[in-house]
Amino acid sequence: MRVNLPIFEGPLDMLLYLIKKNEFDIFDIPISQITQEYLEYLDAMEKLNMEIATEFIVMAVKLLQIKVMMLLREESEEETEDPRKDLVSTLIFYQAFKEVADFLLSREILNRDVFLKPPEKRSVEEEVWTELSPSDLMLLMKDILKRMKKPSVHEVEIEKVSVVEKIKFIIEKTTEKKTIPFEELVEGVQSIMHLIAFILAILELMRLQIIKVVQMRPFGKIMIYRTEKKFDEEILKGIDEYGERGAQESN
Amino acid sequence: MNMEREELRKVIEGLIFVSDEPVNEKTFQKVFGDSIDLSTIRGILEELKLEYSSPLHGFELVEVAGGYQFRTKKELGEWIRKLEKFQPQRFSRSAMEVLSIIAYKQPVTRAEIEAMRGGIDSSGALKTLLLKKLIKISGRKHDAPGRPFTYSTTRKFLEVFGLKDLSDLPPIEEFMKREEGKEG
Repeated sequence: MRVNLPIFEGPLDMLLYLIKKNEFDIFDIPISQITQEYLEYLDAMEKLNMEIATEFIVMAVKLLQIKVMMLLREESEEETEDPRKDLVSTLIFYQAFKEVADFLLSREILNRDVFLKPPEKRSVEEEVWTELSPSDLMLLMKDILKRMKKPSVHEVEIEKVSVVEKIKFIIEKTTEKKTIPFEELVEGVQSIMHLIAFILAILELMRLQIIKVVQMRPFGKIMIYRTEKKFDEEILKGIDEYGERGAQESN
Repeated sequence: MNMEREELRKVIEGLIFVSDEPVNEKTFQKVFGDSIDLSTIRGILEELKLEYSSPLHGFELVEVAGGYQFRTKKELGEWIRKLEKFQPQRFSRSAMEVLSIIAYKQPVTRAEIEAMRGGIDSSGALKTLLLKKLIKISGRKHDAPGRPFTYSTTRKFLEVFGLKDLSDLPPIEEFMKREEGKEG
């Protein structure tokens, strides 16, 4: 016998299938017949090396139990409850929930059939920015320092870090594009010295009103925003590079 | 504030338009205060619903999850789905079965759900539904051993399936009667 096995969601699904296939009355299921077929299906599944879940076995036991009780009931003369009662009620509810599932799937489902205007996504210019103060920036630095990987080996190394260079870097980055995310700016910064130099450079440019540091909503992205004010290289001459005169540096 | 009805209609339309979520009566009351009574607002909402149901419009005003929202019409679906940003909702059969049971039996425990499905392990389906935010853990069943969690549907469930509220679901008997009808 070739059995074309449908995929069953579980034993109830299989029983409903068998009831429908045989056109049985769900309120008067011929238990021995359905048990027989149920077991045949399990057998076929096993032969196909399909894994039979425990709940299928549990149901098989339940069906056999009902079958026995039906036989006992036939022999006894007392009026007893139909042993199929619980199973029938379970099947009817399960059938109903399957219909509910079909009903739900037939609805106009959001993002399948019907769609919404997506939530607001404003462009950078229109976004409501909060300007950050130097003290906000200090807090931010603390945060970055915390996140920075601490080197496992400590090497004492004299690094030459130039604030002027950082200023030039920021100016260069903000000339083409008016804004640059702070994260992008300090990306790849390995040492604390470099980070401090960046912060000093930002502070200096903030003081000169050449840039603004802005943030959209608390904990949002921090952006460096170039103002309309002209950047004059002369300004660099006034910057004190850790005791050196920054302007004397050549690159 | 004394507003002409026409003016009010425009404002209501605009309020719904800018909102990311269904706009409920409370929101309208908050915006208008006591100056405009609810029956006027309701009347206008009905008017707008009617107006947008016209075949001239690509979207309509629907009542969903206790509020009002503009949604595109179903017949536009095949076009809108061409836009990559919309990833279609997909539901497995088992997830839908579990969701259906929760919708009608909430708050309901996992064991109760599984019993109703003939003992099928439903943890995977529950997890999927929780991730999709269609259901939530709503509490615990105190009189059951181990005080298991109970599950209920969410507001998002109403939004996704376009239901005004839970009473918008047909009574479960209707689904049972249908079966009887088929048999007879």
